[in-house]
Amino acid sequence: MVTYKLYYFNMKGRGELIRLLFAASGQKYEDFRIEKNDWPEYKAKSPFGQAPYLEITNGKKTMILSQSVAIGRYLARKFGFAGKGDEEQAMVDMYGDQISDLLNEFAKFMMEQDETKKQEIFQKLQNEIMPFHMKFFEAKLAQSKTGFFFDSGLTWIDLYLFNLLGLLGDQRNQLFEHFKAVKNLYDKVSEHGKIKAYLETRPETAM
Amino acid sequence: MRRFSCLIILALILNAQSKPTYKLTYFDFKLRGEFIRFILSYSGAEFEDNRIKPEDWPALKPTTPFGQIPVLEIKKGSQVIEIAQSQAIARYLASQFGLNGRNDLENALIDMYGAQMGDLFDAFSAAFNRNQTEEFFSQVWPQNFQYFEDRLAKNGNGFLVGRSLKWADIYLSQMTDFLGNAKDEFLKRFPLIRALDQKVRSIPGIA
Repeated sequence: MVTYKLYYFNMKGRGELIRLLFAASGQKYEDFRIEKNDWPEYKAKSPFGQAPYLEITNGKKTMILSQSVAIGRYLARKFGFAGKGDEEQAMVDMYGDQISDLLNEFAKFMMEQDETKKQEIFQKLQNEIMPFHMKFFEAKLAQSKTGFFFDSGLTWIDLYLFNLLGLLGDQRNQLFEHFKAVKNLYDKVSEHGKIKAYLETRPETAM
Repeated sequence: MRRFSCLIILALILNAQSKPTYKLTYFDFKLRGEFIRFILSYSGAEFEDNRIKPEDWPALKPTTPFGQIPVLEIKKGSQVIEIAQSQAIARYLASQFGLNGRNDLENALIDMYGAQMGDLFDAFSAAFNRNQTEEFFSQVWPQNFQYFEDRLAKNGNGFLVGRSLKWADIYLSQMTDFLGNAKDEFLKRFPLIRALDQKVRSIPGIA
């Protein structure tokens, strides 16, 4: 029997995609949340000195995976949320990487310490970068018969974008005014059976 | 006999028509396109290496999935599919040409190393544009290359994952070009990476 243990901080950030995938699949796992002071100890155990990382144990064998999207794609394949067929999976990956690019831009904003610079980055994010990326997601979602990115059903990128929108907090309402299909996706994921139950019980964190 | 040979010729023609063809569009730089060119060359598949000039880019940009290149156009029978995002392209081609893993876990490991290399490239690009690469050469490259070197040592056969060449090996080989003039000196500290790089570059098709 395979068991899973996720190591990440007590936040959504880059770990939540993985938690959402476990939630959507119903697969049990240990959701280990690292205290900031304990990070050096866990950093040493992680493949690239970063979190999240996922420990997969199968009998006596243990493997550790790093890189949130690599972990996400692995679980998505296992649980049937990767897309159908090689070409669709490639397109799912493509949108996934684009969402990562946007998340990385957002992360720059979050990590900026200098208040003036932070404001500058925020303006650029809000006026240029967010709309630029959302336009593509809106176009794809608007074509969908199911409200998810792909007609074949929920894939990991629906959860990935849902999480990113979650990180925006109330700012997302402004975005939703211009991007209706994106809002529809957000609502759809929120209402999705197992995910809805998870959202009601997960720890509340700002990020 | 004649009918039989006609059937064979027909089968050959049909087979040739049903083989997918590929067109890679990118600038005439290495950067994010070269490792895909390596993969296509390795595959022996028929592909068009569409190198575009910077002045032609503005007109082409709106026709691409995300306003970016590289983009891979796949023609499969009557289907035309466009994939953006270099890692999504690489993973897709790898799955078609035996450069991916033997199972989901191997794929996840390959994705993980590929993603780490992607992050490294993004960060180096940003630092290069700001003229701030010293930290890269003194800390970031060595630290990351040590992860890759350790993995090569652990896997024990000259490849990062599994028992044969994967797309992440090709990506790593291409990454060493970004060391520029410092490459030879730098790789003295990472003999397994150096050996992998030499192995990749001597592959017929890539050489």
